[in-house]
Amino acid sequence: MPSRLIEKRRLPGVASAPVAFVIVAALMPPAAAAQRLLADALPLGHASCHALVLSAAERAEPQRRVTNIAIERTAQDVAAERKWGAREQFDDTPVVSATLRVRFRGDAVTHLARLACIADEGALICTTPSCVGGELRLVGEGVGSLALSIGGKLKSGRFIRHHIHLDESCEGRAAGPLVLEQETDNRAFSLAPAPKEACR
Amino acid sequence: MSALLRGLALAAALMLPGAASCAEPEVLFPPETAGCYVGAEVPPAAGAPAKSKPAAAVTAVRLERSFPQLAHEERQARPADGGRLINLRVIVTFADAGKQGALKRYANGLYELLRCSADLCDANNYKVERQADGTVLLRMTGGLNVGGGVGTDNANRRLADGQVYRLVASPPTACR
Repeated sequence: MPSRLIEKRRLPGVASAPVAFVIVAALMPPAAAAQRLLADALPLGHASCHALVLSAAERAEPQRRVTNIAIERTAQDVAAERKWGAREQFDDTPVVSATLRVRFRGDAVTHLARLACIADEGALICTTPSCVGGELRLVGEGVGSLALSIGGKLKSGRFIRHHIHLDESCEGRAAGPLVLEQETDNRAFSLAPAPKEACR
Repeated sequence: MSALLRGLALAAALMLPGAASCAEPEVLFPPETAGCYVGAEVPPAAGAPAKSKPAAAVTAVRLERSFPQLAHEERQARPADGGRLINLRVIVTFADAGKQGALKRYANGLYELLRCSADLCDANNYKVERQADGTVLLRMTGGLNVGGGVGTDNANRRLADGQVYRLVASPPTACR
C-alpha cells in the first residue's frame, strides 16, 4: 500500500516535469527575442518613448527646422511585435513597431509616420508601410538612447541624403510629400528615453 | 632628347590616365551616385498581342537610388568576372492609391541586385536599358512583384511580363 501511494505520488511529479519545462519555456523569451537589437532601448514586451535631445544652442540655430522628434511604442505596438515575432522570420519581417512624431519650427501640427522596423547589420531600418521608399535608421547611443539617421555616409565619406514620409503624404498631397530629413550631414538626431507624455 | 621634349613626354604620360578616365563613357547607374528616374508605361504597339494587366492601372513608376541602395551596393563583393552589381528601388503607384484603404505605393524588395554593363542592368526578371535620348526603359522579362504594408495588412501586385515603362532622369525629390 505505501509503495503504491509513493508510486501514485511520484507519478504526477514525473509527468509534471515536462509540463513544467513547457511552461518555463513558454514564459522565457525566445532566443531571438532575447538577442533583439536595441533591446535596452526598445525592450521586448514593454512600451517605450524616446524624444529628441537638443541643447539650448541647438534649439537656437536659425537653420534648424525640426524642433521635436519622438518615437513611441504603445501597448498596441508591443502586441504587433509579439504577433510578428510569432511568425517565421525572413529578411524583411519587421521586429519593431512604433510611431514617429515630428514637430517643425513654425508649424503647429504634429506630423507622424507609422514605423515598421527590421534588423539589419546592427541597425534597425524603419520604413512607413503605406509609403514604401523612404527609411530611417536607429542605432544604440549610450544606455537606452537612440541615434536616428536618415541617409548616411558611403565608404568614400560622401553623405547621401534620404527621407521618410510623414502623414502618408507620398501621393496626393497638394504641396507634395512632407518628409523628415537629416538636417546636417554629420549629425544624427539623438533621442533619449522620456516619459510617455513626451511622446504625445 | 632635349629637356623640353622630356618634360612634354612626362606631362603627356601624367595626363594620359586622366584623359582616359574623362573619355570613359558614362555608365547607367554609376557607383556612389544617387539617382531618380520617373515615368509611366509605354502603350503596346497597335496589333501587339494583349498582355495581362494589373487590376489597377500603373500611374507612375520610379527607380530610386538613394542611400539605402548605394550602401547596399557597397556591401557586395565585386563579381569575379569584373561585372558590376547595383541595387535600386522600383516604386510603383497605381490608380487606386490611397482609395478605400489601398496602399499609396508598392515597391520591390530591399536587397535585389542587378548585373550591369554600361547601358543595361539585368535583374533576371526585369531589365533597365539606357536609351540614346537619355531616358531608360524598364522592361519586364518575367514580371516583378511589388508589395507594401506589413504583417497581415500587406498587399502585393505584379508588373506582368512584357510590360515596358519609359522613365526620365529626374531630381531626387521626384522619387520622394
